[in-house]
Amino acid sequence: MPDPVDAPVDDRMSESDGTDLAGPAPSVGIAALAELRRSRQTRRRAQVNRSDALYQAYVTAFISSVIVLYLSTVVGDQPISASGLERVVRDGPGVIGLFLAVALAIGLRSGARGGPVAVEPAEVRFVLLAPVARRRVLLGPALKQLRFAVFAAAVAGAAAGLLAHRRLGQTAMGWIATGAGVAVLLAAALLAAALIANGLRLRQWLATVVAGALLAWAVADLASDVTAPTSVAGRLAFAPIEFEALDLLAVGVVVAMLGIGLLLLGRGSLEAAERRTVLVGQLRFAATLQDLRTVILLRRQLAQELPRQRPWLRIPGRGRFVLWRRGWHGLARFPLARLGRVVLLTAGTTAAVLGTVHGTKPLVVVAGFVAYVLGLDLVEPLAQEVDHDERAERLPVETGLLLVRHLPASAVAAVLCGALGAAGGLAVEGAEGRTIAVAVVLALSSSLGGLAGAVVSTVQGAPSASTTPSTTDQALPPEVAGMRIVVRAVWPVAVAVIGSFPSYLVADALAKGRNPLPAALQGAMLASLFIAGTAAWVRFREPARAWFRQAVEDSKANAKQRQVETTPTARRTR
Amino acid sequence: MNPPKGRSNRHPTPPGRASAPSRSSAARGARPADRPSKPAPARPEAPPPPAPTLPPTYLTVDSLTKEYGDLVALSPLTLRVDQGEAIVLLGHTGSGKTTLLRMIAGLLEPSGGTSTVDGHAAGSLPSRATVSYLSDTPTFYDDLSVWEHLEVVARLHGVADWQQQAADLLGHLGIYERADDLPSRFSRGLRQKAAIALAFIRPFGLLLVDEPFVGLDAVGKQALLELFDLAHADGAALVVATHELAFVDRVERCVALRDGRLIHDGPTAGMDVLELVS
Repeated sequence: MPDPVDAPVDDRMSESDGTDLAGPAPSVGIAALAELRRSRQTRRRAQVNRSDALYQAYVTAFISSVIVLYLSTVVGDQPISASGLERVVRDGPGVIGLFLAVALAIGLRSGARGGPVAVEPAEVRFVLLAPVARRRVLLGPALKQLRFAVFAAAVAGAAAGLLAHRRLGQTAMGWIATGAGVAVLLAAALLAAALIANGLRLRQWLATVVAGALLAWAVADLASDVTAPTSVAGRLAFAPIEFEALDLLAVGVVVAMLGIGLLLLGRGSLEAAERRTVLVGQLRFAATLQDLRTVILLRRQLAQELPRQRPWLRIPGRGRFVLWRRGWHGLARFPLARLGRVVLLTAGTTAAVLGTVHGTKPLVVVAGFVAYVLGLDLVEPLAQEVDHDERAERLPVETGLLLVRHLPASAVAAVLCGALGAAGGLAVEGAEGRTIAVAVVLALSSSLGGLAGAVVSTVQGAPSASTTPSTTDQALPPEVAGMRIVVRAVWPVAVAVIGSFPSYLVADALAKGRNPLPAALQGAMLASLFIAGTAAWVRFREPARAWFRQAVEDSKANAKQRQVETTPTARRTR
Repeated sequence: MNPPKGRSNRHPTPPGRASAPSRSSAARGARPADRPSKPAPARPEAPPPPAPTLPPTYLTVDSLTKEYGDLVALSPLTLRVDQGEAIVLLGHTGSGKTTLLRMIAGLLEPSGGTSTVDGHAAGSLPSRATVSYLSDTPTFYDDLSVWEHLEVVARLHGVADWQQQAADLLGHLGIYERADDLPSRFSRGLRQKAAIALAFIRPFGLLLVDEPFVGLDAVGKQALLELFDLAHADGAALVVATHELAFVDRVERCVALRDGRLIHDGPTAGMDVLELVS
């Protein structure tokens, strides 16, 4: 099938205006489609529980207020000094420009995978395969997505503008309007880039190259005298301080991009659209359950990240250490894109650890989180076993023992990543005796901690969507059960952050002029306790749960027995 | 199968076996009068056979290829299907049957080569007007009944008198009583029957069908075979991927794939199906 751009002229014409067709005029189908959508919307509205909707709005508003208040305390409310203001005006546009470059990069990659619009699978099968102009079919969902993005961006941007006003002075209204406007510009740029990439059927590798070039340009703008076009848009964000009419050109460019994107709507690949429909639905569901591992897994599928047919290297030996070899067979089949991501995440962890060591202590959380995401890649052999548990159940090996035997391969991979991170860190900091030892301790602790967090997340599985409480939850008071759900979501990341905690202690030691190596070792000891604890948890989790279930059952049976014994009839019989 | 009697984009009306009582119509709870209860009138006599000339090629597949990275799902494949011709597509699991059908339907992008339907590129708007694709994995809207699905598909394809045709089809497949139920909650067999009705409610010149007999009971299989016969008699070209011998026996031509390669394209007479799919 030729690309629509290459298709014979009569085919392209008929796609747009529906002339020269064997089937019905597209307007007939469009009218039917409009009627279908109206009736479905009416039905959905009738099913919405208003009190539930109001409660959700209340919770959202409450959480948003808490976030804004927290950020206010971080930003502070003291007006910035003159030199600080000068620095903000000098570097600020570059930073906002980098945000714009990130938005464009995300948009390009999303568009190359069939985004940004995701319709239902049935819509692909029945409507997009019908003789109806696809642009008109997709226009409604695209505008709906744009409307939501603009609204959400405007709210977030206005809040950011308010925070900027507290430090940078000028009028509050000016900052709020500017913040909202620039955030809308970023959201619109993201969607426009995705629509254009989709409409032009940009290849994924090309989208990655263009996105990488844009990001590199924006970073170069920040780091040197090079001027990136994205920083022109960034200057708009500081309009209350310094405004040039020429900067409005960025708005014109984004609006034009959006127009082109909407014109190209419907020219995208149906294959990508169908793949996206299925996966986006699952992604949303996983995101609703705060299940990061599933989100990452589905994202990989969306990017068509398939294991290599032939492994990068063959693992020698046969017969012994089956699971060790199985683990390496899986890791050695990582596609190039995934290997690239592993390297990038290692670099990200290293950068965050370095930032922590140099005094930006909150970066320890970032380091832990990035190491956790890295661990989710490295934990693949174990994840495969957990995801196909029906196979494991048929093996004559205790599940805990089976799972724990998957860990060495991932741990060695994490150590390799740690070594790579340590080498990167030393390349930046300079290699000398004491620094090498500290770098090795920090890197290994971070990467193994991240892996431990990922192991916890993988083994505990996705949160249950069921409304029926589990046996464990039934045995706990509601307050404790609720807390358990929160801990369950946070604990994997917390374990990973503990892995990066030695960098925090090193920063503290350096600030106080002490030797950082004992501090690093002290932190690493703590982290290794959690890492070993995680391995023990994997090994003995099932027996412990069985024991707990039995204890609950026994306790229920005893309570019932006591109740029977205390009834008047029982007393009389006695 | 009967020889083709000339091309027609008309809906292949099923035999008037629907004798279901009058029921409520399109949307659940809608006007009862909307749902016709009488079976369709007998199909008009087929037009006289055309002059003995070769039928034009309706589906043209030229060096069509599909690759997923280093995995070749379909090696360059060239195929012609004439107007009104019925062929069976054979091959073991993973041989490339579904990939071929989905590329002709316009759901998959080929890695190389082209396919055209009635002279139009696969997936283009005129091609979509004439190709009906019955997938091996039925897909439905979660919130629409069978009847509402039929209405949507029929109206999207500009079928004016769809109610009567829908009632006939559902009656023929034995699911008229389930018309107001949600197909997304059906069993495998009922889902398949609903999907068959959706494939036949619209006009088509080429019907692409992927494993249609899976999950069907004996009555359903017979009903589907009759629908194939009618579509064929109405001049539609059929490409059906199946191992159902009852269908294989009805067609004259068989195309077999193995590991994404064409290994047989010829008459079904004297053919060993088991050997081809093993």
